[in-house]
Amino acid sequence: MSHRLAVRDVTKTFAGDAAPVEVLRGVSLDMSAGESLAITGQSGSGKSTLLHLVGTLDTPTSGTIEIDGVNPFTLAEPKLARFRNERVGFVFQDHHLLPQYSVLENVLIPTTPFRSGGHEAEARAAELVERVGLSHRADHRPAQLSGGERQRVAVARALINTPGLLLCDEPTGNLDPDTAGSIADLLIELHSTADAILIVVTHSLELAARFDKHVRMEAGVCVEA
Amino acid sequence: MRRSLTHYRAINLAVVLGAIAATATLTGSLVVGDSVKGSLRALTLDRLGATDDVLSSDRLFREALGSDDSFASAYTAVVPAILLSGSARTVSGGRRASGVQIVGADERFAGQYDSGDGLIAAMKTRDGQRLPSVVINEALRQELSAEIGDEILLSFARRADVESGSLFGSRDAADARGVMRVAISGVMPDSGIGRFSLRPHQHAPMNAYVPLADLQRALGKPAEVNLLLATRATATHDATALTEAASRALAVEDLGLRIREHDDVVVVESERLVLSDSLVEAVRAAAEDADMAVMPVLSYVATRLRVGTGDVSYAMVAALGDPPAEMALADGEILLSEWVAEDLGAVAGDSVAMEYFVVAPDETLLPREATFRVASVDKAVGLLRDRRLTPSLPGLGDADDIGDWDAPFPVDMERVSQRDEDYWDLHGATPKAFVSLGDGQEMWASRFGSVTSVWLTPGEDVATGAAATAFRRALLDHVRPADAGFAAHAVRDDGLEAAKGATDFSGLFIGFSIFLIAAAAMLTQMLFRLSVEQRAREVGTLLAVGFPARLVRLRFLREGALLGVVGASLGVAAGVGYAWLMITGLSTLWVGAVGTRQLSLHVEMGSLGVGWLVSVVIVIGAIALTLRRLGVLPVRALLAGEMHSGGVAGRSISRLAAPAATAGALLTLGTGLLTRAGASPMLFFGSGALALIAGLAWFALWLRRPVTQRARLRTAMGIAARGPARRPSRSMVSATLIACACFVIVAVGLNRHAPMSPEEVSDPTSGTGGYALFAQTDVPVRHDLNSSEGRFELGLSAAAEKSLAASHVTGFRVVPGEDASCLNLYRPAMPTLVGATDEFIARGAFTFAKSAEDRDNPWTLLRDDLGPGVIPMIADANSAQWILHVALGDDLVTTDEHGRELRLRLVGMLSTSVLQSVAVISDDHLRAHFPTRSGASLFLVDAPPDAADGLSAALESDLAAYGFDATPSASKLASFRAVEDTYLSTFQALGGFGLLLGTVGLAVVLLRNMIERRGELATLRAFGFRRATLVRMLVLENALLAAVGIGVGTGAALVAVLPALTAPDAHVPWLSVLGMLGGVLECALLTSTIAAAVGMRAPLLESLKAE
Repeated sequence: MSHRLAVRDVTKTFAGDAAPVEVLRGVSLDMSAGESLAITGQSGSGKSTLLHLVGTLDTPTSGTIEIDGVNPFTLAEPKLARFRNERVGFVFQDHHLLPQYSVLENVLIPTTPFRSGGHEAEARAAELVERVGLSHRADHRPAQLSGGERQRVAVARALINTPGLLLCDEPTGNLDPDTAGSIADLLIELHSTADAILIVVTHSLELAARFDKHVRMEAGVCVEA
Repeated sequence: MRRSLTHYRAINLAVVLGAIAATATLTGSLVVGDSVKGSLRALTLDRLGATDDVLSSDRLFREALGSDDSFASAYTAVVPAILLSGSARTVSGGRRASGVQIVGADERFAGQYDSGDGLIAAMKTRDGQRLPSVVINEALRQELSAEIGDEILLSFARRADVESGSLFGSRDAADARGVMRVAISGVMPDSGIGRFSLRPHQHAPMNAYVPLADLQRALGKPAEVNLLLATRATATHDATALTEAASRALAVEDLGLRIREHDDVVVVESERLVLSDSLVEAVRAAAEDADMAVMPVLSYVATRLRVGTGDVSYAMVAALGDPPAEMALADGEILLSEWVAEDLGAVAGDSVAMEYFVVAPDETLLPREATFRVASVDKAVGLLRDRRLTPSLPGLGDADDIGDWDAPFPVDMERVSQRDEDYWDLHGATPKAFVSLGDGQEMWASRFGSVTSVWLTPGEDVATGAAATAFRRALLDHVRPADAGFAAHAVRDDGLEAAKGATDFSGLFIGFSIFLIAAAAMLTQMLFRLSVEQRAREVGTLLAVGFPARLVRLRFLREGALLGVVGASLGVAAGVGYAWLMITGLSTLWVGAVGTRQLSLHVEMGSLGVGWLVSVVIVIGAIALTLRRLGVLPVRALLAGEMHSGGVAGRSISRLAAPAATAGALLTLGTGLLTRAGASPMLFFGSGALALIAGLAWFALWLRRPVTQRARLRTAMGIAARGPARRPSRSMVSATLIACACFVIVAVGLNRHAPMSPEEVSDPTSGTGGYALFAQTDVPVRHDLNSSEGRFELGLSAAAEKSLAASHVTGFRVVPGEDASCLNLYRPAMPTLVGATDEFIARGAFTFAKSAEDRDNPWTLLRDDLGPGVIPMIADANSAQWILHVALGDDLVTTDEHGRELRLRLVGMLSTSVLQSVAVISDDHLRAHFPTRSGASLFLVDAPPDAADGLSAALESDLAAYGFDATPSASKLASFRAVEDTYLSTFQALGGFGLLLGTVGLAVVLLRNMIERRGELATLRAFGFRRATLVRMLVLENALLAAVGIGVGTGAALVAVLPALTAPDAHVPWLSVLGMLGGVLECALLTSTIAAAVGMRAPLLESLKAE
């Protein structure tokens, strides 16, 4: 399947203490499989909000978002959950690994809600763990890993269901430059073989420069960087 | 510190609440104990009024005795009264009440109570009242459903002068009881004088107060009483002063002795016909003082004397001790008067067969025969014609002819010849033959004594009158009040001692609350730990800027200590409230356990202080344990908000604790099973606690097991199943709280009793002994209900006759004492004793929980000779352990009827039985030590199940005058078990409270976990986990903890009660226990679902944002 993302005039307004706060003011994007996009901008500019809308974690106030031709916000909650599980992969600034599970198990977690696990998934998880360079730590728990290693696990976890859309929110924000560089290398390498759409939100212009496209969020709108 | 406390006020408030729960549970338990003791003490003082000591006698004595100056120095008041045990019936409605105290009272008795004037006023005869007045108390009024003006019949045992257990004692059933018809002139409340009783029991007694003079008239004993109530002077400290004063005040007539002065001799006789051995000894000693020669005499009736074909019927025979030389006889010799020798055709050297009756233990007459050699035949001169040798015999002595005899033994008038009548006309009851005292006593001695008179001969040149005077004086010096049947009791001291309770309620409640207290302490510790974890960054920062770990710990300890102290202080107040709730429960909802609604809250400052102090130590100790880790965790982790070390230390402890506690639990369980110590509290709590620790330690190991040993994930619920391993300590606390609650709930539930099946009721090895009915009378029944003669004498109806034909009644002689069952909250000093007959012993009924020796029939242990002054006793295991507090081999020390020390040694313990109220000794021992106890007052009836009700009704009706009160044995047993079950309900309520703590713990853990895991949960949502799935996962995590808690708690409870479950009488209500466990799980699930649903309503998305 050739993956597509279409974002049309999306706005998002949050209720504020005094008056509503309009975080996104008509954002539009079009992306196809294999493309990658970096979004930069100041804190509060709406980068993460846009990412969450694209990832179907939140609903737009207006405008439409279509992933692979489907407007996910028309789906009922169970179907939306399944849609997100199958089509979207996330990497967050904080890895949010489950501390009681091993590296391998953490990677497998997205396979469990719809029972897409099994030996095949385990094999894929092992392969991903190997690809992120942690096969020697597959049975370790997150507390036994370094920050970079934890984020590698998070990357592997994001790819376990082979999503068409990989969304990364400050994936290197908590890491030192060297580690951040290696995570960026990993993302780009994995993306190049995954035929997926990659969107990365980052403060780092250096990182942003490594992706196909680069936009900057300013006062709720996208500006070509 | 103030700012910290206020800033983190929510979690700090939770810590304070935890400390309040721990303190309230502990202090409340102590206050419950204080309240029960205080209430029993108040009831004791209420029922005794101003009375400190009492002097009682099994017989009536001079009312004037109490007025003797001898009492004045030690007592400010000595008040006479009559106290009888009996029954009451309404004349019109036929309502009956047994176990009634009939009190002969006047102004002097009333003066002992503040409410006494009310009694005297109520006793006044009402207009138109033709019968004597009776004032009843409210308890009796309710039992009789009677009102003022109603007429009632009071029945009571009447003590004949001559014991029915002797040959000359009356066996007429009507002579054994007295009946008085009275009119109710007033009703007193069940307090103060209306609660008068000498026996400690929390139940209000049923009292009937009759004017003293009226009762004395009904008894035919004007100016006589059987009780003196004494109020001590300030300097008097015990009841020995009463004994000493009574000893000084006694007169010869108080001893029941008649001293007849004749020209040449002084004859000492007893109103009871036979002198007790102790009185004979006193007479001998006094005679020695008065320089008088002593000749004891035992006169008896030989029903026949035979020599060859010659025979003489109903001849008096006298056995003489130290007679004049011309009448001295060797053993086996008989001296015949000329009259009887002529009738028999006997000469010296002939062999004489003597037939006579002896009284069997069941008071039937048994024929016996002895053979003697005629030593000589003498003319009726001197002693041989002395009528005084035969005391005045009831029914015989005043008869003009033998034909007029009203003998208490069968007389065949056809065997009485004219020549016998002639002898009677000429010589009356003068003995016709003589034997040695040794032979006489061997044949005719009874438990009442072996001498019917003592002849005292003054020394030469001493006037009989002077000698008699000297003898009387000396006699009073040698007689103890106990010899005359008097006994002094320190009723107030004994009552207050008994008020300390058969059961230590403080200990009992603390025992069952200990798990609750531990749970509350753990909850407090967990809450405090959460509060510290919440402030991990603060700790990290302080350490990073150079604070020594000790100072940081101290800083938090100060805060924790303050919270603990505040919580403990508030907890003390809450504890009083908790105790109030428990006492209110025990007085209302659980009144079956204590049997009185008059329990009230008694708060002792000492208990509050102990509760506060112990709680503060527990809470601060728990907090200190949490803080210990502060210096161990890396600052880096703390700065990152992490306070979890990976649980290596916890794993090490669990590795040691799990096998050690398992071994300990198995050891104690094995000990319990092997020693059959079914109800040992030490084993119960020991094995239970060890099993609980073992189960939780294994769970801790499982939680902390290496990750490689875990199963791969397959489903969302699979993820949830591993959730508890995320924060093992927190999970452990949750599981432990539930386990503790379940332990209490299940252990208590397993000890409940299921109803007995009909098969069990008729099973001789069950708690009923296979007897269908358990019955008691207020007036002893002296006739055998199993014989047609006995039933005839008792005047039983055709209905009773018919029912009894297919039944068998086992009667027991009874020495009244205190209720030794769990129905009595007071600690009895001496239980009611019942005498087991040979027939009962041979039946081998009931089941023994323990016995001193392994025998096929442990009842035979009652026959063992344990040495002088020691007799074997068997009691119900529950009564022995919980009420009497004696173990196998222990002695209960009392005094017998002669005032001698008697040790009752426990040789057997019955599994739960209908005999819980009493202690059993052999009838032989009972008769030997309490000889005047005649007739049976307790009955076990073996009847076909379908005939039991009819028989019960018929006997209650026909034997109403005896106060016959029959209860189905199964109901009797159920009444004991109901008490246990009610206690168990109380403790289950504690378990419920523990469950509340457990579910609070679960909810706290769940909510805290959700707060900590918002990021994780949001991530899972991002990966497609539905909100409902996440709720289910969270609930499943908690359900797992609850299930482990339930499993461990239930397993530990099973281990703890297994010895009791294997007991033969165990009836376990498994279904209700399973139901309760289901309830616990449901409760945990419900709490978790609510907490998870509430927690999931908070927005998760924010936690994912990078900024």
